[in-house]
Amino acid sequence: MLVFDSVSKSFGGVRALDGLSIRIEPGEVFGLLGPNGAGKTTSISLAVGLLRPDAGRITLEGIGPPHRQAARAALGVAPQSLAIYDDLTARENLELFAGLFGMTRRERRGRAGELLERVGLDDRAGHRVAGFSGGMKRRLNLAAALVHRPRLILLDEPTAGVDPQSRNALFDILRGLRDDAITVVYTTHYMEEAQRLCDRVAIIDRGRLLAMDTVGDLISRFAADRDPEPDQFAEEPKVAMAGAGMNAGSRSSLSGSGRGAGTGGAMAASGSGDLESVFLELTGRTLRD
Amino acid sequence: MRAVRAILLLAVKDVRLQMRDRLGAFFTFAFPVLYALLFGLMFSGSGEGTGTVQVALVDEDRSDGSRAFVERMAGSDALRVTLYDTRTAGTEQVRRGKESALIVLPEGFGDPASTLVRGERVRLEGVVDPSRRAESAILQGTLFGLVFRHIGDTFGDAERARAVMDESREAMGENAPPEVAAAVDLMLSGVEGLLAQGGGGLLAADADGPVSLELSELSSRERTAPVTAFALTFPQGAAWGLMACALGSSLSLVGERSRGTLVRLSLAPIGRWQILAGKALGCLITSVAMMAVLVGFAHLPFFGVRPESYVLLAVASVCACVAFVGVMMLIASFGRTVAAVEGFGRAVLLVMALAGGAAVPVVFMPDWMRSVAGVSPFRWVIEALDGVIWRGFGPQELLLPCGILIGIGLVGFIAGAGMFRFSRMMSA
Repeated sequence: MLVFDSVSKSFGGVRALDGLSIRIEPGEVFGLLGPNGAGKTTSISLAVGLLRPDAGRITLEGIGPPHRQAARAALGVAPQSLAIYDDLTARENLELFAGLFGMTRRERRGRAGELLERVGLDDRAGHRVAGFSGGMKRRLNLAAALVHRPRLILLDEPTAGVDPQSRNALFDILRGLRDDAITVVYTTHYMEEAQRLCDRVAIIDRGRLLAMDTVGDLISRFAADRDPEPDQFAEEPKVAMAGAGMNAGSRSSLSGSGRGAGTGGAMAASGSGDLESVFLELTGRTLRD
Repeated sequence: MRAVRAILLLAVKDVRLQMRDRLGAFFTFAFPVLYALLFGLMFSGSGEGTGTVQVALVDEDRSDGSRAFVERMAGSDALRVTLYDTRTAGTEQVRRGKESALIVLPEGFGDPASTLVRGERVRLEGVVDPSRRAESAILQGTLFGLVFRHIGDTFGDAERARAVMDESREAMGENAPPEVAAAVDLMLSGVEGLLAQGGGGLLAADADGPVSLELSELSSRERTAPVTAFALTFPQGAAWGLMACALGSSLSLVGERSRGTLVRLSLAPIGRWQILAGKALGCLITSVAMMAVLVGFAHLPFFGVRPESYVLLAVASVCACVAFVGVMMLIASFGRTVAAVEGFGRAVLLVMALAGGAAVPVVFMPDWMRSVAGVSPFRWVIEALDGVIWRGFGPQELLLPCGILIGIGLVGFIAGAGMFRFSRMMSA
C-alpha cells in the first residue's frame, strides 16, 4: 500500500531520515514508533506528499508518488495538532472538508452525519468545536481525516492528551477501520497502544529503521527475558514516572474492551516482556528533550 | 467548476469564521460606523488646520488692477496660488481635491483702491471645498488682509493715491448730481491735503466691510444640497473597516498555518492557488458586506449622506475592497507566526492609514507627506469614495483612483501569494 524505499531527508545540516525503507501492506494497522526527533513526523509529511525526499522513493500502490493530486483521494491524515476549525460546528467542519473532496451537498450531509455518529458526536453536531473537550476534538479530527473514504489513513499521535474514555472510543473507531480493510499508519509514544492495536510496528531513531516486525516477534527478539517496565520505576524514577503517567490511561483501558492484534495482547498477558522494553532496548534510555 | 466550488466553500468558511469572531466583527462592521459618527460630529462645520492654503485663482477682469492683485496673492506666504483660465477649470480642481478653494476676481474687479474710493465694494467670488472649512477661514482672513494691504499701499504712495483720486473724479464725470460731485470733490481735496502733509493709511474697514467675499461651498454637479460632515467621515470610516477586514483575513490565513488546518486544506485535491483564492474571496465578501452596512447607515436620515450615483459607489467600493484583498495577501506573506504578522500588519497599516488621510486629511500634511500619501491605498480609497459620494466624480474621474486600487489589489495578491509559505510539515 505504501512503500518507503531508501528514503533520506535532511533539513539544513540535520538528517531527519537516513535511508528509511518500510513497506506497509494493505489493510494492516502499522505502528511507527520512535522517540522525539526520531523522524516520525517527517515520515508522515513525506508519506502525504507535503515533503519530497532528497533521496529514495515513496510509492503509493497504484498511484505513484504521494505528491500527485490523485494520491489525495486515497490518503487521509489526522495531524497531531488539531486541524479543525474551532469556530465552526462539528457538522460544518466535516461538510467543508467533504466539499473540498468534490462531494455534493447531499453527499456531504450524509457523510458528515454518518461520521459524527461513528465518532460519537452526533448529539453535538450543531455545536461549535471551541466548546468541545480534548477527546471530542480528537475524535472530530479523526472523522475529518475519514470524510472522503481514504484507503490509507495516517494518524499522528491521535490519543495525545485525551482521557481514557475518549482513548477507548478512538480505539473502537480504529478497530472499525481495520474491519473496513483501511490501512492505518499510527504514530504514538504510548507503547501499550501500539502493542494493543498494531499488526506490525517499525521502531525508528535518528532517521534510521531499528526494527520492524509484529509486536510479538519484536518482544521475542528483544525483550522476551526482560521484566516488564514497572521494574524500572525504582531504577530510573524520572523516566519511569513519566512512563507511569503516560501509561495510566492505557493500562486502565487495556483491561477494558477487547484486545487488539492477537500477538500484542498475548505477549502482554504473558508478562514476559512488553513493547516498551523493546523500545527502550533499541532506542536507549537517554532523555531526548 | 469543481475549482470554483472549492473556492466558494473556502470563502463561505472564512466569512462564517469572521462573523463568529465577535471582536473581529466589531472592528469590521461597527467601528467604521462609530468612527464616521464620532468624527462627523466633531468636525461638523469646524476643524483645525494650519499651513498654506492651495488656491485656484481665476482673473476674469484681466485689468492692470486685477493683475496687481493677483501678484499680491501669489506673493502671500499663506497661499499657494495656481492660475486657471476659467471658473470651470478652477472648480474642477477643487472638486478633485487638488485645490482647497477657487477665488475669482470677477469682471469689474479693477483696482481695489479705486473701487473703494468710488464707494463700491471690492468683490471677490469663490468656491471652497467643504472638507476644508478650516482652510476656508484662513483663506478669508488672508484675502481681507491682502485687499487692505493693497489699498493701504496704494494710499501710502502719494503719487498713486492722487492718480486714483484723479481717476475717481474722471469716473464721476458729469453724470453725478452736482451736490454729490461737490461733496466728493471736497472729500478728495481733503485727502489730497492730508497726502500733501505726508499722510497715509487712510482707510479702515467699516462695520459692513468694504470688501465683499462671496464664498460658496462646492456642491456636487447634480444637486445643491450641502455636503454633511458625515459624507466626509464615512469614506474614512470605510478605510478603517477595510483595514480591519484585511488584517483579520491575514491573521486568519497565518493562523490556519499555525493551527494545521492549512495542511488539511493542502491535502485536499485542490491547488494552493484555490486555497488562497478562497481566502481572498472571503476577505472580499466581508469587505463588501462592511461597505454595504456602512452605506446603509450613511443613508439614515441622521447622517443624510446621499451618494451621487449608487452604481459608481458600488464600483468604487468594490475597487477599494479589491485593493485591500491584495494588501491582506501581502501582509500574510510577511512573518511566520500570527504574532509577527499581527505586529507587522498593524504597524504598516496604521502608518499607511495615517499617511493616506484616513485620520487627518491629506491636505493638512506637509508637502513631502502629501507625496508619500500617493503610495498608500488609503489615499486612493478616500479619493474614490469622496469622489462618488459628494465630489460628483463621473466614470472618467473615477478611472485613476479605481485603476490604482485594482492595480494594488492584483499586484499585492500575486506578490503575496508568491511569497506565502505553505506548511510543508505536519505540525506536532
